[in-house]
Parts: sequence; C-alpha cells; structure tokens
Amino acid sequence: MPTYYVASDIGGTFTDTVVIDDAGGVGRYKSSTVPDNPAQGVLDTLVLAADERGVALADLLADVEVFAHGTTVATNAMLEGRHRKVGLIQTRGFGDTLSVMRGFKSIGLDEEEVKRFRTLVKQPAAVPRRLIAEVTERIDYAGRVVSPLDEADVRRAVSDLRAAGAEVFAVSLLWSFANDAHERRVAEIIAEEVPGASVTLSSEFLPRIGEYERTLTTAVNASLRPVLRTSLDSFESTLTKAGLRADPLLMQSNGGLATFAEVEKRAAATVMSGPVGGVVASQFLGARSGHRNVVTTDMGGTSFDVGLVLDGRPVMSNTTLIGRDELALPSVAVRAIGAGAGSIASVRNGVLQVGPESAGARPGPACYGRGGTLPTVADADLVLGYLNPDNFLGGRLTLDVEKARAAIDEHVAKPTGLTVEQAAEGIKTIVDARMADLVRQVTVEQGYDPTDFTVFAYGGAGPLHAFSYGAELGCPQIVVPITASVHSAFGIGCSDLTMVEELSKPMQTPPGTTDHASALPPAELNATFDELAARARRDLVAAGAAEDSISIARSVEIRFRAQIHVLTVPVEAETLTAADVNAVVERFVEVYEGRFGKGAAFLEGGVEITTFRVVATSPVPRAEFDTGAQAAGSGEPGLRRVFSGGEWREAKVYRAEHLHDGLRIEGLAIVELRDTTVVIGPDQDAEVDGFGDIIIQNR
Amino acid sequence: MTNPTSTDTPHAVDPVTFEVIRHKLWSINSEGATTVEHVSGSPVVHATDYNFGIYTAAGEMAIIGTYLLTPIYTGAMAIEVFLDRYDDIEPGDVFIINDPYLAAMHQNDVQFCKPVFRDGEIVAWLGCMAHQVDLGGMDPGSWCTTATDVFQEGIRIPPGRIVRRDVLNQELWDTIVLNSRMHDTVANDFRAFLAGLRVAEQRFHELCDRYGAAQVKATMERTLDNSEAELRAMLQELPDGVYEHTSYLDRPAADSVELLQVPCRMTKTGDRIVFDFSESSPQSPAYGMTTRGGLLGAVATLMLCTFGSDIPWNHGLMRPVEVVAPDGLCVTAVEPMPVSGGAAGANWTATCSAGGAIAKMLSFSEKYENHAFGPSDGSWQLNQFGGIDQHGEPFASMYMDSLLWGGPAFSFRDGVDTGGSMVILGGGAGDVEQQEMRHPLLYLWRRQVPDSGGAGTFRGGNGIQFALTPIDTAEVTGVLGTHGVTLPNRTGLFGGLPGSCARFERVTGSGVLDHLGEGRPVGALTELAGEHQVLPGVSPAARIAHGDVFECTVQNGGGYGDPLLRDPARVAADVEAGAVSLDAAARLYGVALSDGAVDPDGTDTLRASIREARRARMTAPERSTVAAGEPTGIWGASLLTHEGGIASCRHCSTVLGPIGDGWEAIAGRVVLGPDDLGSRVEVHADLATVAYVCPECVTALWVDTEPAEGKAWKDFVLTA
Repeated sequence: MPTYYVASDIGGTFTDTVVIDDAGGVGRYKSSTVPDNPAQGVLDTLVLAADERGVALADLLADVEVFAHGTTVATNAMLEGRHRKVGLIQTRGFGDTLSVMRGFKSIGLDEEEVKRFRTLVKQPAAVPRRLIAEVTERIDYAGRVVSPLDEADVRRAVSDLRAAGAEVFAVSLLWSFANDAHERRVAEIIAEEVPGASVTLSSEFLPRIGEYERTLTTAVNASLRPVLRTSLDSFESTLTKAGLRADPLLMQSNGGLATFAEVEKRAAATVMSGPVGGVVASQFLGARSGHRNVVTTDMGGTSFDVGLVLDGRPVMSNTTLIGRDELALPSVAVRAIGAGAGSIASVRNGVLQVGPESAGARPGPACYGRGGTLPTVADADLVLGYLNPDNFLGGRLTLDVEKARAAIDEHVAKPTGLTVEQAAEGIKTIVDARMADLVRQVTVEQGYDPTDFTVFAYGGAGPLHAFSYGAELGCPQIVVPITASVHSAFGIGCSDLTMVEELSKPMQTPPGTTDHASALPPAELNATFDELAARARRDLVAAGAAEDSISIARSVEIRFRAQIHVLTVPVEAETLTAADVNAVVERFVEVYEGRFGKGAAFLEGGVEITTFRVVATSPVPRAEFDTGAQAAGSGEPGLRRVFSGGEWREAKVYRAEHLHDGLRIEGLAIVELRDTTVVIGPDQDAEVDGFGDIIIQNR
Repeated sequence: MTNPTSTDTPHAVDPVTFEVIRHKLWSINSEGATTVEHVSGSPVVHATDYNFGIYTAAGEMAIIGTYLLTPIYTGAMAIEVFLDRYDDIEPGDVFIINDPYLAAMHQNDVQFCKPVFRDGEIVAWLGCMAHQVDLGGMDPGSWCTTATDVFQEGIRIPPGRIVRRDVLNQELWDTIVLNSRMHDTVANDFRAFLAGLRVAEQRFHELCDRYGAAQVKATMERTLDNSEAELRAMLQELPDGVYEHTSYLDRPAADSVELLQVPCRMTKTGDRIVFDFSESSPQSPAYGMTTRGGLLGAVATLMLCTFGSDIPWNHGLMRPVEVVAPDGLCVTAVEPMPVSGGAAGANWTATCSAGGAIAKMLSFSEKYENHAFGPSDGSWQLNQFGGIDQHGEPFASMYMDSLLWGGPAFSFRDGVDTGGSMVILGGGAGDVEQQEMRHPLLYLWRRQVPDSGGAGTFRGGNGIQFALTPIDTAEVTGVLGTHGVTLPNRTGLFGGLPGSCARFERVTGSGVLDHLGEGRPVGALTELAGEHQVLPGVSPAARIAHGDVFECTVQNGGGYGDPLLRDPARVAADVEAGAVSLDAAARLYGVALSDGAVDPDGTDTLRASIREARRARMTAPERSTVAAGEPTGIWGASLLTHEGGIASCRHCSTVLGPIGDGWEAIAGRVVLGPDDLGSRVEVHADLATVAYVCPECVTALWVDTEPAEGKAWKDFVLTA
C-alpha cells in the first residue's frame, strides 16, 4: 500500500499541491482557490493527483501519512479587518500605546508613499480606543511592583469593555514579562466576571520587551484566534469527511509546521504562512545540490518577493511585517516590491515606468482578454515571444497577442516613439532592473555581496525573468527548480514541526567589561534557556513528536548598549560556561562586524542581551525525494522567434519530454513546462541536473 | 586652474535606459546610506538624523532620500563652497565642513562630500551628513543653550579636505576627534561616512562603465529638468501675487519672554517664487539663532513636501526658487552669534511662516487646495537628561518622545495624531520599556492629549504628553530647550484654530512614588501635592530630584476650516475615542451629545448661539454694495473670487467686496479669548489671536496669531 506525503499552499488565486509517494515521486498540481472554502481547492488538486494515479480520492486520502498546508486565512482576516472585537486591558497612563504607534506613520510604505506628505497617515489602530481600558497598577524595569493592581478597577474595566462590545480579551501590562503576577490576576478576574471568555496574556503569549509590538501582537492574536479556529475546524472536517486520516499541520511564519491545536493559540504566527514556504524549499533543494548561500526570488502576479538562505539557513527577521503592521513574531525574512507579471507600464513626461500599480487577476493583463486594456509585464513577455499564447497555465488560458500589442502600442510605444517590440523590451528591461536592484539591496543590507549567492527563481513569472535579473546581479548560477510552479507548497512539505519560546530578560555588561560572564552569569543564562527548552519540548511532544527526535537551537537577541536594533546570535553550548558566555559575545562582535563593517563594533561601551529564544524542531516523516529520475529525453526542440537585444532571433523551444539529466541548453532558448516558462538568455547556457532543476550560467 | 566640471550639453538618453539608470541611482544612494547607518554605531544616526545624496557636477541635488529634512540643502551649499574655494580638486579627495555660517545648521552636523571623476572631469558629487553626538563646546552634546557667542560652542570645521588623493588627512581628523567628548563615536561616524562614500562611488563607476558617463549624467540632468518643468507648470497654474505669513520665536529673558519675528513674504511671478525673510528680527545672542543653511533647509523642505507631493524630489524643485534675506538676522546669523541651537530654532519658525505663505497661494487652485497645509512642525522640544543611572553609571540621553506632535489638518483630512511630523517623515520614538531599562526615569504616562490639535472642519493632530519621575537615582538634570511656549506657531487654515503650545512643567516634592505605592492612580499633575512650576522654554539645568515629576507637552497641529462646520458625527467619534473632550465638543465645535450620540437639535441650537456670540463681538467691516458675476475661482474653504477682484463668502455666497487692499478689510474681525481656543493655547501679551469672519454668516474664514495692535501684512495681494 502506498504512503503519501502531501503539502498544499492555498494562495489568493491558486492552490498548489505536491504529492510525494514513498517511492520518492513528486506530483505537482494546481487548482483555483475557493476563497470561502479553502479545503475545496485542496480537494480539487487531490482529485487531479488521484486521477493521475488511477485511484479514488478517498483511497488516496486514506493513504496520506502527513498533510501540511499554508493558508492565508489569518492574513486575509487581518488585512480585511475580519476578526473578533478585542477588549484590551493596559496599564493606567498607557492606553494610547496602540494609536500612538511610537509616532511612526511610514511602516510598510515604500519611499514614494512616504514622500507624499499629503496622504501620509497612520493606519487605523489595531484596537479602537473605546475597546481599550486602563487599570491602576505598575511594575518597573526590575519587575518590582511600583503600584499594586487595583482589582476593583479591573472588574470595572472588564464590565466597560463588555458594554463596549468586547468579544474576546487581551491583556498587555508594562513589564509583564518581568513579573506576570498582575496579568495573571487580571486573567482570573476576567474568568470570574465572564466565565469561559477567551483571554490572551502578553506575558504568556509573547513575553518580550517593547510594549508597542507586544501589545499589538497580543491584541491581533486575540482577535484572530476565533477566526482561525473556525476556519481550521471546517477545513479539517471537510478533509476528514473526504477520507483524510492524518492530523493536518499548518505552516507558520517562522518556516516551521505546527498542529492545529497549537497554532490556534498562536494565530498571529501564521500570517506569512504561504510566502515563507518558497524560502524553505530553496533551502532544502539548495542543501541537496550544494548551494549554501541562496537568494530566493518569487515573481508572481503583483509582487516580487526576496528571501535569503545564508550558510544553509533561512535568514530570519525578529518581526513579521503584515500590511502596515509589524508583529513581534519571528518570521522567515521576505522582502517584497510591487513588481510582477501584472505590473502596469505607463509613460509620464516621456518617462517610462513599470509598477507598482498592478492589473491584478481581474481585469489582469490585456492579453488575458478579461477586459484589461493597460499594458503589463505579462503583455510584454507575450509580445516578445517569451510566452506561448497556447500554453499558459498549462493551456487553461489562451493569451491574446493582439490585445497585448494594442495596449503596449497605445500606452507605451506611441508616447515614447518606440516600436511595439522596443517598448515591450523596454518594459521588461525596466522591471528586471528593479528586481535586480531589490535583490542587491536585500543582500547588501545583510552585509553580503550578491555575487556570492545562487539565485533560485520560482513563482509564476520568476523562471521567465530570472535569466535577466540574475545576470544583471552577477550571480554565478540561476537555478529554476523542478518544483518552481509549486515551490511554496513543496517547501511546506519539507518543513519540520517547530516551536519557538522566547523571554525578554534584559541584562547588561558595564562599560569596559572584558570578562562578560561576570556580568552575564552563566547560571542565570542556563536557567532561562532550560526553562524555555523544557516548555518547547513539552509542546512538541504534545503535538506528537517523539522526545528523542527533538532538536533544540538556542539564541539571544543582543546589541551594544545605547543601540536600538538587536542581532540574533546563536548559542551553541547546551550548558554555558563562563568561557561560552564570552564566546557568545565574541560571536556577536563577529556577526556585527560581518554585517556592519570591520571596526564598527563598540565593545568598550558594554553589551546588552534583551531576549532569549529557543527554537525546538522535530522532523516530520517524509519520503526521500526523487524529483528528477529523468528519463532520456526524446525528440527535437522546436523553434520560435523571440525579440531580444533589439532584434528578432530564433530561440530553441524545449518541452518537458526533451529534458534529461545532463542536457545542455544553449541560449537563446525557452523551456516550456506545465505552468512554467524558463528562459535562457543569449549569453547563457543551461544544464538540466539529475533532479530536473535547470541551472543557468553566464557564458 | 579651474575645476574640470563638465559643461557639455546633455546627452540624449532613451526612455528605457533613463528609467533603468534613474532606479539604479536610487539604489546606489540607498546603498550608501545603508552603509553609513551600518558602520556608524551612533544612536542619532539610527534615529535618521543623517542623510546621503547624489549631486550633479555643479552641486545640485539629484537623488535625496527621506531622512531628517531640515538640513537637506546644506550638502548643495557645501559643494558650492568647495567648488568656489578650491581649484585643484582631484580624484580621491573627500571634503569636510561643518561651519554653520557657510553650510550647516549647527556644528553637530558634519558633512563629507566626494567628487566622482570620469576621464579627468567631475561627473557627480556624493555627499553624506550626520549629526555628531558631541563636538565639544561648553555643554555635553554641544547644544549650548547658554552660550553667548560661537566660541563657547562646538568646534567649527572650515571647508577642507579630510582625504587628499586617497590619503587620510590624519592631523585634521585627530584635531576634530580630539575636540569631542565622544572620540570613538565621532571617529566611527567619520569612518562610516568614508565607507558609505566609497561604496557609492564604486557603484557609480560601475554604472558609468556599463552605460557610459554621458548617459548617467544625462539621466541626472533630465530628472532635474523634469521636476523643474513640472514645478514651473504647476506654478503657472497659480495666481501671481505676494503671499505673507508670520511666525514668532519666543525667547525667555530676565523677567519676560521676548518675541523675535520671522515673517515670510513670498512673491510668485509666472513660474518663479521668491521667499523674502528680510523683515525678520535681527540676530541676538539667544539660543535658537539659525544660519542661512537652516533657512534654505526650511524652504527646501517645504518645496519637497508641498510641490514635491507628486513630483520626484531633486534640485529641480529649488531651481525656480530664490530666498532673500540679508546677513545678520535671526534666520541668517553670522559670526559671532551662537548657533548650536540653529537646528531647532528660528529655522523652524521660518518653516512655519513659509509654510503658511505657500498654503495661502496653493489654496487659490481647486486642483491644488488639497496640497495646502498649515505650519507643520512648530518646535523641537529638546529633552536631554543626564546623571547617574540605575546601574550606577553616568548617562546622558535625548528623549525622542517629543517628536510625536500632531500633524497639520488638510482640506480633506484631519492631521495625524502623535507622529504628524513633516521634517522627519519616517521618524518615531522608542518604547517606554526600552527607555526605562536604560535610564533612571519612570514614565507615569505617555499619551495623546485630547483637544491639543487645533479644532476645525478637519482638526489638527493631537500630540503627545509624557511625565517622568526619577527612580533608583537621587536626581537627574534636564537640558530643556524649545519655543512656541507662549504662542502657537501652529496656526490653522481657513478658520481652523491653532494647535496647543509647547510646555515643560515640573512638580517638586510630589511624593509620587508613595502615592502610587498606596495604589492610588495618578492621572494628571494636578492630582499631585508639591510645588508646581511651568519651566521656561529654555532651561539649561532643570533639576529633577527623587520625588519630583517632570512633564513635557508638545506643540500640535492647526485645524482646517471653521470647527462649527465639522461633521457632528466625526466630533462624536472623536469624543468616543478620547481625542476631543465633551467640553471642547460643545464649546469649540458646537456639538451637543447625548449618551455619546449627536443630538441634532441641540447641536443646531448650540452652533447658532456660538455664531450669535461671535456676531456680537465682531468688528464689522465697511460694507459696500458691489455686484459680482459668476465665481471664477476660490481661496480655500473661505472665498469665492469673481472678475474685477471681488470676493464672496464660499460658505454663504454673500458678496463681501473688492480684495484689492487685502481681503482682511472686507472681513469681520473677532478677537478670540481663552474660551474660543483650545485649552492649552497660550497667547503672549504682545499678540492676539484673531478670527477673520464672514460679516454675514460669521463663519470663521481665517484665524491667525498676530500683533495685538494689528497686523501690518496682508495674507495675499494678487498682482495678476
């Protein structure tokens, strides 16, 4: 009896699914997302998988050992404001924390938006002021009670909040991570006043320093929990009814999987559920083929997302940016700009610009024939001959070349005096240059040179454009993985069960310290790590992980005193000695100077550890992949005219059946796979490896 | 030998290459800035008090980011000085300057500039600037609030070369670094400058290698030309005339508060603008004098943030602009005036007056009235605290919380609450917990102050107030400096009221920690015992001892339009959100609420009674019966204009008369008292807050703070 490992990425438009069998075969399926019923899109893809194998859907589902997925439920609920009304309780004097937003009105905006003072306003606060109550209490930086909790005040607050419409409660008091007594007592009082109420405490959910992000994240989490729970319940029951026996897992923004029971408590940790899958997949495939430093590039319809894998690990951010809000939850770092296949080209003052406006899926590019009349990147790709009008999305949509030409002619060629082909190539050149600039920025900000990285290209348009932006960056290799069209889903299938536990416990070394362990006592560090590790283990075991399968990674957030930004530095030793503590500080200096330049370190002023973090992981059962197993190719590639470098040229056109291990392709060439078009530039060669990945190199 | 700057005609560049190069220049600039930020360990740099720019060979700004904008123009001034004074500029040179009289706002702002050579000629300049934490002088931090001349302040660096032909000028470097109390931090910032310039130069060369220097230069030129052309076209759409607005710098003196005036008279002719500050008060040895660098920065910042709303930011937005002001004024201080406060003094006042003048002009266009906003940034409130911290170590820290003022209202929206700053578009403050972890000061509250934004049809943004008490230390000392304490710099537009004033307040011997320890809430200073004192706007050594409480309240945004015309539902929502008090809802907006909901009849009655009270106090203008044809234009929310220079009220359509002698002559005049203003608006004894109203419907058309004996200027005189 076969065993299947299934992973789905439920995106805004498409649901992508990979089905891996115990022989290592990888099946890739795509279907439209059903917004009101995410499980339906998944079932649609699984029907394709079952048909391909000649089995019934129920039989396939019965043999699924692991089912993991990424979802946009929490993301959409947050961005669309569909969530429950949270009553938020805060320390007296600080109930404006959320609306003040520390004064920032620019978070999540691009530079052009920031420069438009006229329209530069804050986003609405996550919780309206009438649903926020202040209570008399105060704890100081050392965790000491400055003012005791006024319990009568809490009862009044709870009653006021209920009257104002609160459906669930969040509590975020100052310094609660240093002393949680007041928050715990508030929870007890809420339980007395409103039996059965859903309560999220910041000291429990997110014991981190920094009241703005802690409060925001706690409140957002409280509001999303009921939404996610309802959605997951219905998702699970639909799949179970269809025959699934495995407990489904969900992808978190941190790049790891969690059970529904666990993730329900951490709903806000799933807002980047989908996009991070691609980075994990690139990490996985990169490790297999020896690429330890990878820049991941995902070009879709509206945005271009960039992530990094450094020395075999995804670069993480301590926060998660969602819309214009920054949540204090670690995430796989993904940076986006508005550049995609749907980006609109326009001319103003004789200046040709592409994006950030996008035609979206509706009306979409002019060539979709759905009423769009503005020229987009996809229209340019079609006019230039890169896209095959009859083989788009596996032939599900026939593209209209004439509509694309007309749109480009009217809106770009005529105003600039270029021919339609020149205009189309101009659009492509500009969008490719912008993408290259973003990739460069992302690597440089981390203190690295892009030429030290391999580019992984995926998403609907990435494999078509990567030959150009990759070459521009000077990256030695561009890899289009065989999983390109379902890369995020594949990454979700490669992920481990993951549990993150954190605690802020600020400690400093005095200026001039050389023996850092004297101010950062190893015993105290060990006790903190041990407590966090025990908690993380307990949760993973509860999620079904075997005790001996669990790995623990420890890290600290550390900075030089007087600085604002922290760096996360791994702590290798399981039990720290004084020498290990000093080694952590040395490692920090090394990481810091690596990123910010030699001589930039500032050690004489002392250092400050703010937060301790433990990441516990346990591998999910999976098959050995055999994504390639390429049979010897057969047949001769076709030919198509492509407009490149200002002239029409002949390009060889390969299809799936032509590919085999070791095949060398000379550019200019196009590889048309189902759902993916790969282009190899005129000055490039490509090779197909044993896994079916296409590796492009400059000649 | 003259400098080899190129003068050949711009090379043609095709639209695609242009856009690619333009974006790459952005990317190079941001890479340079990122490098500076990364290499510098300075918290000031991390708070964005730095900038990085790419300039043309002639020193015009080609690429500018969104950093602290007030010093935006000093890079261009510096390059002009270098080109003027040196005729032997060579590849590998890096110039330095911080002389505030030549090209800086104050001594802390050190500028490095590097010419980029191709084939023996300068094709561009790269420049970066950052506020140095200390460059000597009588006070730590080099904000010398009591200095009476420049020689008591931080070191002045004349234009010179810190690197000559790729060799570091070690003597100069050491001289500067040695004069700072923070050698390492300054040296590190300087290293960061050099690293940023090096990275940007290398990338710039790569760009030239690939596309040719001629195309890169042509792209820079064309971005400037395009912005200039767009601005000139926009100016052509606006009426020619003289527009004027005044703001004041209040300086604490022995027994009084002296006022320095900073009027801006702006003349727009065709596609040109002249900003004339000649009538500003003379310089004096008071804190807050600014130099020409600060003044030009004020005008440049406004040009970017008003006209540059939809036009790419670069020097093209300054080409049609001329700034007129003789040397020796409070906005053009010369040696030996002290200018360490020049980054946060009269230059801010100039921003307020020039901003008001620009708003008056833009509001003549239905297309651009939504670009107009009143004085955007009233005063920087310096809150620098020092002493011994809870770890037993010395500390000195500037609290950035005072950046969280309310923004100005527009014709279509309210001002941004707590964070409406224009001069730092992307800035903000730290967490309370972050501050408390490091410094021995416990916050009692940090909150938005209700009613602190000026009331209006659209209200000004409310601002922050925070209160601190020492904890785990005997006392701390505050270096406090601001203006706008005795008058509102943040006037409103078209009948909107001014925002609240700046204030530093202290309660000594409050026993606040005991109070809290007993579980008693503290909601306001008034609930505390002890001696209450409003501190002067400039307090160089305010002692805050254990048991004392210090409170800072910022200056906030002015409103837009008469508050009586605000949608009552919005007032009710503001009351529910705590942004507007019930008192202000009734008193300023004339909105009656019942259980939080609007009482429509009560509101009508209340608004009518406020109008009648206004009418009773109004000094009516002489009315002449004139006929007016169909309206041909507008002036903001207030007037309709007709052929023959006739104006009517935009609210009630009553023809008011000819505006030739200043529209003020055809409006009613009501002097506003404390009951007509927000609760935290102070009006200096020499000044009055006056509403100019429609004599017919008594809707407020403009509210200004002006000399008590009457103003000498006109809001506008059209010449077309």
